[in-house]
Amino acid sequence: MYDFIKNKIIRGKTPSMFRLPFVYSLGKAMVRCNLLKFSYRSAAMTVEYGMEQIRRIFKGRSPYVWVSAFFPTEFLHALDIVSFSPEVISALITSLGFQNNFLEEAESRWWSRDNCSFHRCAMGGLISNFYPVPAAFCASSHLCEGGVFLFNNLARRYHRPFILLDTPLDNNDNSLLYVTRQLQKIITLLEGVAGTRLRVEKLEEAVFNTEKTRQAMLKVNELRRHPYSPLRSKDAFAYLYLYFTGMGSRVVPGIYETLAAELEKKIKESQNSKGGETSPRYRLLWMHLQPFYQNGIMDYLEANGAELVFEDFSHVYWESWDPGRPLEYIANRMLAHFNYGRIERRIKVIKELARRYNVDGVIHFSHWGCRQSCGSLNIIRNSLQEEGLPFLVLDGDCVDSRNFASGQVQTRIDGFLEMLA
Amino acid sequence: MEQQAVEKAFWERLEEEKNKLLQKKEKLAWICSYTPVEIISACKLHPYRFPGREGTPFSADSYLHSSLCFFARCSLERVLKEAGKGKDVLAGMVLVNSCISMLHFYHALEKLGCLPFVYLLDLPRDNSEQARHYYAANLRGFHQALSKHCGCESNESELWEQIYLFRENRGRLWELYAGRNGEVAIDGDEIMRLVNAFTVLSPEKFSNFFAVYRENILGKRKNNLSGPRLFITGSFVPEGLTGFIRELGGVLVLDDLCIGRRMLQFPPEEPDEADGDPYSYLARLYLGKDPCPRMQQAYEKLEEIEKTLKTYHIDGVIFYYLKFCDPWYYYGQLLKEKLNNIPLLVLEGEHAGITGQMRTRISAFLEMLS
Ligand code: SF4
Ligand code: SF4
Repeated sequence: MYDFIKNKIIRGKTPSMFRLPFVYSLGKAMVRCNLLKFSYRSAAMTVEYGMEQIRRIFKGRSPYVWVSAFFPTEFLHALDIVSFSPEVISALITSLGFQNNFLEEAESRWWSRDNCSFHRCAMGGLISNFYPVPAAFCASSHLCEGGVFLFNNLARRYHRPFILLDTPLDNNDNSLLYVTRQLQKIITLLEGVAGTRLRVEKLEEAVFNTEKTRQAMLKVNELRRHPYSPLRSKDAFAYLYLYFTGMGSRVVPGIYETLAAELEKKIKESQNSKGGETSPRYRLLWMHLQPFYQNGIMDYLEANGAELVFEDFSHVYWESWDPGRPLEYIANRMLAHFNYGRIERRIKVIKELARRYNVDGVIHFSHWGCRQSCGSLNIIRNSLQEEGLPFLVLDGDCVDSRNFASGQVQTRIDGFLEMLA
Repeated sequence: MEQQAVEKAFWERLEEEKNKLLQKKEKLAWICSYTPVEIISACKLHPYRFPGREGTPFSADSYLHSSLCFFARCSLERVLKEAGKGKDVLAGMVLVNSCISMLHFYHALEKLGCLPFVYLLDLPRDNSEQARHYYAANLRGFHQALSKHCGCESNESELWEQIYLFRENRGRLWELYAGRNGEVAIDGDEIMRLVNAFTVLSPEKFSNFFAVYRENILGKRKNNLSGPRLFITGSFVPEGLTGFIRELGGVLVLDDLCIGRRMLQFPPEEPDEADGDPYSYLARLYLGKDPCPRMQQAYEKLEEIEKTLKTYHIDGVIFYYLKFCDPWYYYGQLLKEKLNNIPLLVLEGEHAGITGQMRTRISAFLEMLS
């Protein structure tokens, strides 16, 4: 899809055309009329959802806010505030090939290349007036500390509220109380942004949507356990925008339900086709994000008989809770994230996923500047090795292609696959 | 001349005392200025601010990623090379979850198991009522865990005693910051050395040293210092940086460092044993102190920065940050923009001492200000 947009629509144009709401209306219409092809209907629905959000932002009629990963977006949906995930949009911009415009803009103003390029790209877009200034910057300190500091910085710079959810280290009663009290305060601040009061039934509905999303995601993840692996990581990243901004949305459960139905159908077809589809030689688990510019890693792996059958980002990390008690539901969801806090949580989940998806090895893509995900890799490696799980670290950058050495990456992949053989 | 000899002897004795301390077994190391040292002391351990190890982190890099802050990696390097090996004996270390690098440093220490006790204390990001409540409970948990480790009762009255003791010492040092908006007779480097003594010596030893300092040095200072008046801010500045500035003729009038003024600038609230629990008091104290950029409210003081610098008649600002330190980096970004009328020198370091390039840049900066 990106190739189509890139080659047929964007080539020779400047990013400024993406500031026109009309482009998104057109894009949506093209998706609906099947003029843009996707491997999955659910992926098309995701694009439509994303385009609608972005169209509203550029239209400028609804309040819109920046949200960092895992901020409780249920409040935003309940208050009809449009949420914008700068990290995911940076990924999108990278896949369209525009990231250098923004990276260079940021770097020319002392934004160092030592920091996460998702952020550099996002802020480059904001300081060059590509994005409208949001009504607030909402961050959670879950896993991305750079995001907290960036948002606080931008909020001061643009004189907008900075709304922070400070996520405690451990999941216990004291933490639960701390989070719940913060959520109450966050509601008040967001009511100020929306200019309206939050209605309880709206919040309940949003949380109910999250619960429905959770159940549908579980269904998808269960289907992905099939030996045929109906959804590979490279396709799963297309749903990232939902994961970051869609919790609480009325549309999102339906997208995951559709995906589940599509995977079910694919599995059936694979069983009916002559001899069935062959399963990959090596099944691998992917950790962290992937590079979003042309990089060939996934294709290279596939060409060498290795499939990425699951990625830690798609893990459903929170337990079911009574959606009729929305604040508790959200607070528990916030405290359940596996990538934050003590390293044992992360290791436990990696091991659990490795077992569930019956993988032969794990690959961690170490995005330069992402201190949370790269920080303790050796501890993870040792721990996985104790279980006989090979672990490969690929250094690179998801957005800034200048930090990516494809030859080196291929050599490391070759070595890893040889070891698995 | 005689006075010079007295001063030299004082600083030498202080250094000796600090060196002697390295061999002592009962030290519990800490790093961040949000660490409740009173609790460590109440458990009969000696709170000791861990200095990291200036230089290149070699061994540490196999545990901590090269994109993590140099201070965290250098601290691990020191633990691996020196702690427990007779060069710097430690009873353990308490880390505050102050930034992502510290969190990973904790993971490495815990997994390596090279210290008898390692604790990670979670620190909230602002000074709201709910944050204070949360931190107070964490402080209680820390006291209990440390007492258990030491085989003693977590004794609240002992804790109150330490609260009073530390408060007195902080108050003594805080006096040195008074009146610095006018002429100054003591350079910031000297204050910084005393603050350092406060963070490594036992409270009793420190108050003895301070009494000597007050009588033999402070009371005898007559002449005011001349030279460009400076303000320094940022993360852990390299050892010797402030001394080097003094050598070149700069006068360090004010600092915003967690190894300096921010270690002392606590809310004035008096402790009151009769009225409540010590953990709530400590939570109010630590969360209410002058915040560093790790805290949400830190950016507020930037709004006042030019006014503050004018009040102190500052001629130039030095901002030092460690490579890969996000909190200070993002803060420095705004600081740079806020300072329209005062010259600023930005230094990026790797916790490897003062480099030749830094020396050249500082000299040029001071020359420009002179
Ligand atoms: S890659 Fe890491 S640092 Fe960058 S936005 Fe994501 S979590 Fe934050
Ligand atoms: S900069 Fe702040 S968080 Fe970091 S060590 Fe100093 S006081 Fe602690």
